[in-house]
Amino acid sequence: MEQKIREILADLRPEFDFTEDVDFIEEGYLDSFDIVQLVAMLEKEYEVKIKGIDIVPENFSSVAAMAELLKKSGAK
Amino acid sequence: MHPFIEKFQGAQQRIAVVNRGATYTYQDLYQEIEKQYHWLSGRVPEGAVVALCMDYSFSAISLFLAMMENKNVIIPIATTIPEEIESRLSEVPCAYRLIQEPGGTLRLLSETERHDSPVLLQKLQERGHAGLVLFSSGSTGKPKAMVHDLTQLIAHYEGKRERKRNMTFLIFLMFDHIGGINTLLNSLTMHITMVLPERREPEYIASLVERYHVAVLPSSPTFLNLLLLSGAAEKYDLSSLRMITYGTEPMPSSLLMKLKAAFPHVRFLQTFGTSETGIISTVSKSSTSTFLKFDDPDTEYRVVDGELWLRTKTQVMGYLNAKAERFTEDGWFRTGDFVEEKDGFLRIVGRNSDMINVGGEKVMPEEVEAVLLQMPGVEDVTVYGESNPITGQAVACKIKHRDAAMTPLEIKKEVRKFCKTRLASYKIPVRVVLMEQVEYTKRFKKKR
Repeated sequence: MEQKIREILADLRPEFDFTEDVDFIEEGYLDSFDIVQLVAMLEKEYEVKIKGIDIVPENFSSVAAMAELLKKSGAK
Repeated sequence: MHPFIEKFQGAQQRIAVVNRGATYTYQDLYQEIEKQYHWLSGRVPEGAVVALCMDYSFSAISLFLAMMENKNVIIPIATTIPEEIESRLSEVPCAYRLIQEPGGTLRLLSETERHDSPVLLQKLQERGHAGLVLFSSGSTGKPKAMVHDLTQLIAHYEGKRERKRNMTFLIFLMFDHIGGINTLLNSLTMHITMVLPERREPEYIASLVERYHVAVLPSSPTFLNLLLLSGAAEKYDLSSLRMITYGTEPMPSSLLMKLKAAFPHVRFLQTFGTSETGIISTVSKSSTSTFLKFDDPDTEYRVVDGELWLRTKTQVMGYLNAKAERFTEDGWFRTGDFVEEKDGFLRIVGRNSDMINVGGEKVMPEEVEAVLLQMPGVEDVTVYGESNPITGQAVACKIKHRDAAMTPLEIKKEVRKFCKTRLASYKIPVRVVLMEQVEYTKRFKKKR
């Protein structure tokens, strides 16, 4: 799952290296509008719906956080 | 042309604008700007002040950018009410007025020649920069005309990123509003698709969201409440929405809860800005909280006696027809908004000018509204002050109640009973008026 998430991130923002161990929000790799697009891409890939209450910066700060969010939303 | 416009060539086939059922790509936009610029530059000198009397449209956006290219000072005027147009233009030495006739033909009218050229406009000419004039309501009722350096304002947006993947925004806020200008410039910088509405009724907006799969809707709390009350969210498929931003007035917590329940997969983001300082990027404490933090390296803030002060790199050069009393000598702008601070976050409590003074005790209408909105049957409420011979002012309210059979006296009794355990006695409305429809301004702000 994490590999796939990295591929989606690379497609969204090819100028950044999402294998780096950084906070993607703090480092400016992802902003509010990136998160809007990322949610749509992840929902389509994993056929889940992410709740609005979970669309907060901390859930998109790392690949691990996003994987956790997807599992919480019912992704397998 | 200006690099901001030249960059449109990088997004050629992407749809830039959807307007009146027609779609226009960034290539179309670029070509239209070129055409309009050649038309303008032969007729309007650089530095001239030009009123652009249109609301959002493909033509209006092209003309706006062509006028920027021609280094004009642009006065966008979206209202069609003649008295309002003349009231605004009488405050500015406007040389030309640009209108579009129903068939699409542009007409350039010369205004009465004025020989005065305010210092602010001279400064823009010296810099070789375009300008933007916006209006805010003055305390005397006369609109205050403020001047932005448009070339510098656009430079602020140029630092933001183009989007490899498209998104669709609905441009809800009006062309002559700082929020509308902000959404326009953000969208053009990111090279994403803008849907321009012809009207702003909730059902029509919902139909556009469905038809064009709008992902981001900037709006106001008043509009969002109308959207809920209209039932449009049930009639139309709004599942494309991913983000709703709101600003221009405080958001009652109870309304935010209702919106979250109605749109469980949408992120709600509060925006903040003033005509004087521009729109500031914010981070909400959470999707259900009305507390926010400024997330903008170009903004400084402080809270002085409960009032929010701002200093930004996108703030106005000054006013054309008013003194800059609300600016301190070192450039801080006193917003007139009262805020609550908690854990490094701010909550907008209300406007200084709306505050009600009951015998020396201060009451913010929004606080009372937030309580009354929780009362069963209340669909909307507006709280305001009215004169009182003993206390100076007293709290009054207009309520839209679901139960049309209840009399004003019955509702007043309910209000007093409900508020007794929730508000100090001086904050409880002494007068309750029933309203049949929610009252709001043309810009979807609560009418007090």
